[in-house]
Amino acid sequence: MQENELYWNFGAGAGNWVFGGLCLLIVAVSIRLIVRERITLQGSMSYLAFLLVLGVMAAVPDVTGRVAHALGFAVMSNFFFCTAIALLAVLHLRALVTLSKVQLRSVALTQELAIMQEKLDRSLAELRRDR
Amino acid sequence: MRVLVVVPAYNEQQALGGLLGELAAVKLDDGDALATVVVDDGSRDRTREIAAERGVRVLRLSHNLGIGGAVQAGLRIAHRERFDCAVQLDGDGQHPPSELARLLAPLREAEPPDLVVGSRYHGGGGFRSTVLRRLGSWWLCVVLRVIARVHASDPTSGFRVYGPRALALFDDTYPYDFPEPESLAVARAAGLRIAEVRVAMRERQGGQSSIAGLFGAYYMVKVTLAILLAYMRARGRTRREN
Repeated sequence: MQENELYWNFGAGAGNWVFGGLCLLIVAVSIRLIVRERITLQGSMSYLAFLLVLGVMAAVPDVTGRVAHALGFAVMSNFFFCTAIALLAVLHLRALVTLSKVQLRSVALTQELAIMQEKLDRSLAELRRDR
Repeated sequence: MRVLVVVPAYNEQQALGGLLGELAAVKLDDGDALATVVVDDGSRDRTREIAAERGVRVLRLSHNLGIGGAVQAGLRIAHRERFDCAVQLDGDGQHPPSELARLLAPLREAEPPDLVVGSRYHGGGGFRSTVLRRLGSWWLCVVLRVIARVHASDPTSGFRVYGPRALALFDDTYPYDFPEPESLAVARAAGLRIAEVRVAMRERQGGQSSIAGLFGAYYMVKVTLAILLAYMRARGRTRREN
């Protein structure tokens, strides 16, 4: 019978550090975008938290492996993918809520703008007629 | 009675001029005052200019909101300027203005309805339509009857009259996804009275239908879900307000 893989032993290879570095790079880019006010801090918090979780998982694979083992995952990559997919689903939901709010506000603003513009045009036309 | 005719229009330069000409020729009862507002839903053709040339009010939406957003903008004007009712008349020329009097008639009754829908099929109307379109319409009738207990024979009709209570409701909340059938469910959930009147309709004079081809089946699935959710949302809202 095949023995379970000792999947939390990451003594060899540097793949985890490469992945951790990639997460760090994305965090750095995100922070740069926040500083330049291209994205808001409020909206980026959950994304940064997501990257932090993945980064920690990559930086300390032994601990991640033990957690995965304790949770009953036979292979650590399964645990990693499950965690990533769950976090991505939460992120997507959050983005959807934000987008829907913005969309509804955009509709209301467009309508209000048009109504005010029409009022203004009529008032100006009346003024011109009075003169 | 002060009536505001709301004409949502998106790239309707072909049909709009004739429609507004017909509207100007409409004669209503003495004491009725008819005003028209064309809601230009971000058109890229001469829709706005044609409306302005005809001397009607023009609401210019800076970008395309879709039929729901355009109609709600017009209804908001009617509600805020305290019109007695608003008539929705599509800018593609499908709705003959000569039918306005028939559509407005229920509002003169002792207990007027809040929403009057002009129906092509009411009382076995002889409007010619494709089999698929009639099938879709039949399905929406069933969905509305089962979910919202609305008995409508033409749930996708955009030829409608909104009374003061409907104007107040739709100023506050109006469905944007599939406005015609959804708004019936919302109106019912809010306790509004809905009536149907048989009217004649024409083939569209210009523009293209947004529901065509294979998208029809997908549309039906989406609209069914949308009606269910709109009704549930409106019911919850009514309960909270009470």
